[in-house]
Amino acid sequence: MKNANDILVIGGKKFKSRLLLGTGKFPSPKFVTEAIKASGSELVTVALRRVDLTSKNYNILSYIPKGVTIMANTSGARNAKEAVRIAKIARAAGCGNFIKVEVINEMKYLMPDNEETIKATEILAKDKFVVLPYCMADLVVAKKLQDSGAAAIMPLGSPIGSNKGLQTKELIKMIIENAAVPVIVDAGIGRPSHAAEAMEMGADAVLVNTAIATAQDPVLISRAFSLAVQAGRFSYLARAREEQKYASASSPLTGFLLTEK
Amino acid sequence: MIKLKLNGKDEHFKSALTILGLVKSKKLVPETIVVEHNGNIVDRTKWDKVKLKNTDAIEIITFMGGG
Repeated sequence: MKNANDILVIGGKKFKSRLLLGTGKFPSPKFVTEAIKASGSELVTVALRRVDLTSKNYNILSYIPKGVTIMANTSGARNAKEAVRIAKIARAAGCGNFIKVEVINEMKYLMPDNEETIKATEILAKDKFVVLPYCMADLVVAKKLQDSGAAAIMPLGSPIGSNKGLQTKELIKMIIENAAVPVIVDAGIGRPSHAAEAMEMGADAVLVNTAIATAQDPVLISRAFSLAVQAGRFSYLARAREEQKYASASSPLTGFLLTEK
Repeated sequence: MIKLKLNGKDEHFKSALTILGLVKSKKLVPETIVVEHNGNIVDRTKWDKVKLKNTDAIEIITFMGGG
């Protein structure tokens, strides 16, 4: 079967699952473990934060099953310099060399600062990080990120946490058609059907967080996302036909009724 | 008495202490945190060797859920 060897490779690392999972906003950390297992995800994101010295802290890493690749994000970074600093802390903390570059300084729609993201990507890629930048769905930005050494491009479907799905669909298609590295739709995916849609149009993977973490049943929806991503991927590989303007009969029109007039 | 900038806030300590001493005094679990001393990450194995000086900046960082 064609899909038996359908492996996603990012930064030389192989992944069978094409669903990346964010670990924020879960009702409690134990749901993170269960959601990762139910989703089959092999690549999950975490964030770095100052320890709250006034209350009890837990470390999310201890809730991530063994064998799952951990990718710190640079959330909180407002420019390239801060993103680079966060990435270095994450690596020094034993988080591996996968880093999601996320640079945001606009707090209403949380749009990424593409210029700073490109700068950070270049610096970190040179420093042997596997860089996955979160960016606007823009072909030229994607090209620059790729040239800067990005291991994958992560264009947004719609604003973070908005659940609005693929509002940038046509723009993401342009990136998919032209990128030499994997394209992962990140942000805005609110339902499994959105994930299937992204995969069906040829995205290499999707990254989901809010939609899973804030569902009433995060574990069940993890499974739903896993199936949706697989369904979309299989559909893409099977090369589903394009829409047609007119009907085309699925049953043979033998015409014998006409002769019995 | 020394003054440290601990996670962005000034805090006073009665006597000089090491990073390890600071971590212990805050009842933190070493394996779950990263310590930055004046902008440089200090390896956990060296925490007991780094003596903190007046006005040093310390950042204590951990991993949280994030997307």
